[in-house]
Amino acid sequence: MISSQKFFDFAIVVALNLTMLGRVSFCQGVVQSPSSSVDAVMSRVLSRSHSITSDGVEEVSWAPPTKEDVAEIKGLGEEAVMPLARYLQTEKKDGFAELLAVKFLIIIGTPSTFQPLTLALAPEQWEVTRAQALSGIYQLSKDKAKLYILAALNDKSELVNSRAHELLALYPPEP
Amino acid sequence: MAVRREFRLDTPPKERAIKQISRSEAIANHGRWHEFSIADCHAAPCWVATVNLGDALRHIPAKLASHRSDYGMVSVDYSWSWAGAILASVQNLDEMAMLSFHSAVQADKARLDAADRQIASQRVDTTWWRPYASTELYLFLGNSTGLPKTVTVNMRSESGASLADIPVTLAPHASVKLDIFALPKKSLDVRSVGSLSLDYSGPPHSLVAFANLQDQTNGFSANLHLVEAHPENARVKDIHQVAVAIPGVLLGHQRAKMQFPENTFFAPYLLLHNTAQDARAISLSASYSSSGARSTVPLGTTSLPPGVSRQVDLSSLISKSSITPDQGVIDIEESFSGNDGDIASEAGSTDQTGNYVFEADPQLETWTSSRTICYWTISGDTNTMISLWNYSGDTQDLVLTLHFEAGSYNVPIHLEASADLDLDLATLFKSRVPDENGTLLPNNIYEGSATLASTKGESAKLSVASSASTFNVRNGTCTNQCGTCNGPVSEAFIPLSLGIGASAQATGTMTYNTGSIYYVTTNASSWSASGSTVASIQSSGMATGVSAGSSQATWVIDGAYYGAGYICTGNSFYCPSGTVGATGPVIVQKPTYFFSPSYTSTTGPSGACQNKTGKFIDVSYYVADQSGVRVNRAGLEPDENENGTWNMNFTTPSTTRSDGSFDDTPFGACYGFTGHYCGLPTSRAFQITELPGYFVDPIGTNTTQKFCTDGVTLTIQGNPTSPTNQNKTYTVGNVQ
Repeated sequence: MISSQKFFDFAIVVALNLTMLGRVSFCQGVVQSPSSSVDAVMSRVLSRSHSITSDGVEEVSWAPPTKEDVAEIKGLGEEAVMPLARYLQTEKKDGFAELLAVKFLIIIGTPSTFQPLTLALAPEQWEVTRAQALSGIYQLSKDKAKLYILAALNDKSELVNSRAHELLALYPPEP
Repeated sequence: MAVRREFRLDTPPKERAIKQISRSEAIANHGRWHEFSIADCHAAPCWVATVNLGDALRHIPAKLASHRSDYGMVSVDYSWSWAGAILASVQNLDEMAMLSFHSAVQADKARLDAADRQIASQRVDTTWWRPYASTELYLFLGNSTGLPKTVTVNMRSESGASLADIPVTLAPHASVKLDIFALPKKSLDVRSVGSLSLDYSGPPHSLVAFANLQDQTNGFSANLHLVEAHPENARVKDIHQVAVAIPGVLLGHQRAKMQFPENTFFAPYLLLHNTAQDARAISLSASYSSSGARSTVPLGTTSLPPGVSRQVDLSSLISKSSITPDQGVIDIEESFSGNDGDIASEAGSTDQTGNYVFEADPQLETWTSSRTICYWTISGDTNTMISLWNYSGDTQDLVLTLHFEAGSYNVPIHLEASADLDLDLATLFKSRVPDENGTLLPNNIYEGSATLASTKGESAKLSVASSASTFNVRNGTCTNQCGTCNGPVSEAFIPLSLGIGASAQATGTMTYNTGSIYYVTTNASSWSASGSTVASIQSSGMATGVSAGSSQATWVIDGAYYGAGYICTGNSFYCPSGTVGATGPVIVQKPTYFFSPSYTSTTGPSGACQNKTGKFIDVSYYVADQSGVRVNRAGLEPDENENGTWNMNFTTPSTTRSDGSFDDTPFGACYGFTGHYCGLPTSRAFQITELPGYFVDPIGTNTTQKFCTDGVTLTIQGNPTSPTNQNKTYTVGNVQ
């Protein structure tokens, strides 16, 4: 979803990221590290989730990455994997941040993204993130994903277990 | 005893594990039809079972006892999901009189039911001879249909003059036995030859016919080959060079391993009958082994006017050739210019007493795929000899697989051009040599079936004549076992869906009588499509979507082996070939709608919505085409437009799964507001990008949504309302 009014609260987002990742932000004119580039894209996308309605009420809703955001992450390719993985290992969960990291990992789609995506299956992750990660590992390797999908069939989250059933149905029937 | 076969095409559970023969029946007959069930069998793959019909007839129900006769028909009624899975044969054995006869199932009820209902004239031809004054010829006719059938039996002399011409009326399912040599008004001379034709109307092979020569005084017995031209053949080909192979003709003293009495000496016989309308000049040749090399010698040419029958004095012709009188085994070839079924042949060898008769099966020299030999046995002092002859000019690498209870044994066979092989199964079993898989032939096995295939696989071509004879030296009986061509019994086209501008390989399937399924792609002779405005198809089967809609595509394989399940011996003597193919739909799908089957309530993002309240749901969608049919395609990229900007990646995953599904999640919002509050309703339009061509299809579906602190609602619009209304509203909580 793209909210009707954008609320760019860079201070909040940057502070959040610094807290979460313990990283120093980049300086203009200096070549960015892949990690910095990932952080910048993440901040940019996540900031769009926050807006103020015409009534002056703060609204938080999911804003998907744009074509440009995706292109930037795709441009980083393999180098973006570890920085994105770190978003999945933070103790304090944001929800949208982990979900966005998972989406970017799926878009990168290299075999090295499989293990980071499995981090997003952890029970403490948001169920939407977990369901997304399940789809992601299925896309990467149907064979390797099967064990995780089978394990998720009885997940306490209705969303996760229904996603697991949907994905399992996509496997060819066993002889 | 003549037989007929029926089958149903049911699909039992666990069909590949067990074949079930649901019913076997013997029909005792006195001009009327009575039947009773003999046995129920469960058949494992490559399974062989023997049912003693004599015992069964002795236990005929009392109410039918008065109808018992000494001949009738047997049907095998089985349930299986494809045709040709069960082969059956009947052996009549009279050990006291040293007589044995063999017949195989002939009429296939499914084929008959599927046959053109128009009345068609059919003819069955054979040739006969009278080797001894005491020899009798019996003809058995059975009507495998539910309608009365009239058969005209015409017995002709060597010159083709009519000796007898009698109509025989058969009630439905009835059978009759005729003493053919008693039909002519004038008694037949010894050594006279002639022909027999059976004319009837109905579907091909709806007459079950079986004939045998028998002589109670010396134990002579032989089956006649009654050849009904395959309907597929119909003799419509142009005149061409026809070659018929007759493998494994015994010549001279018996081989020691066969254990016939000392001084048993075999002499060959060959009878020819011209069934064509014109004269045919038949050239004969023989192939044999000498000093480790193969030689082929011409034996001469005989000219047969139409309708004429002739016994060829093979012994005389051989004596004039380089073949020694004690050669052992030779392979004979007939060749002529004509059509495939023009010459009816009977061939084999008899010993000097007439008791031991080794029949040889004439077979058209044309490639086939693998073959099944219905039955072999090495029970007691009975043995089975399998004769192979590579009549072609090319080397043939084959595998003969002996199937038996709970196992199989592979015999690799390398046949140089023109080479032959006689395989004595009793000796093979005694050899105790493991096969390539380390399998040993068990000591307690005495019967089974066999398949002969190219080393390249079951469907690969082979050019080999084969014959299997079961014989018993002690009681002087020998019968040829039936064989069947393996090949497609059904063909299909796998429906193909693709997008506009997208290309995909069209695929067909052929199901063999063995149950194997073979895919047809670039190996088809041709592919074609009707309505190229919808889809085009290349000769390789690569189809390309042109515009939304449906068209039909057809694959064809020319010269395919088909007619699988026909018995090569008896009423047929070759595996027919022709054209097989199938037609099916190619649907070009244009993604047009997003249908939503369901939604799931989810929690909100704990961190992002900290100190805020809201509701979130996960909305499931799938892509539907212009007709509302699901588009089962991965990689389609749905895009949403809210406030004038197209945005991809709003879905999970960002492109569709293989079933065209995706999820819109997280869908909802949380607000920094205490109490009930709703944001303004918003709306979205959609499009979809077809990768990799980057075709962008507008989507007719649109949505409006409203998010509240304690509720969420989504209205899906723009979808078809018929036959099912695909417009929906999902509401969770309070959205007022």
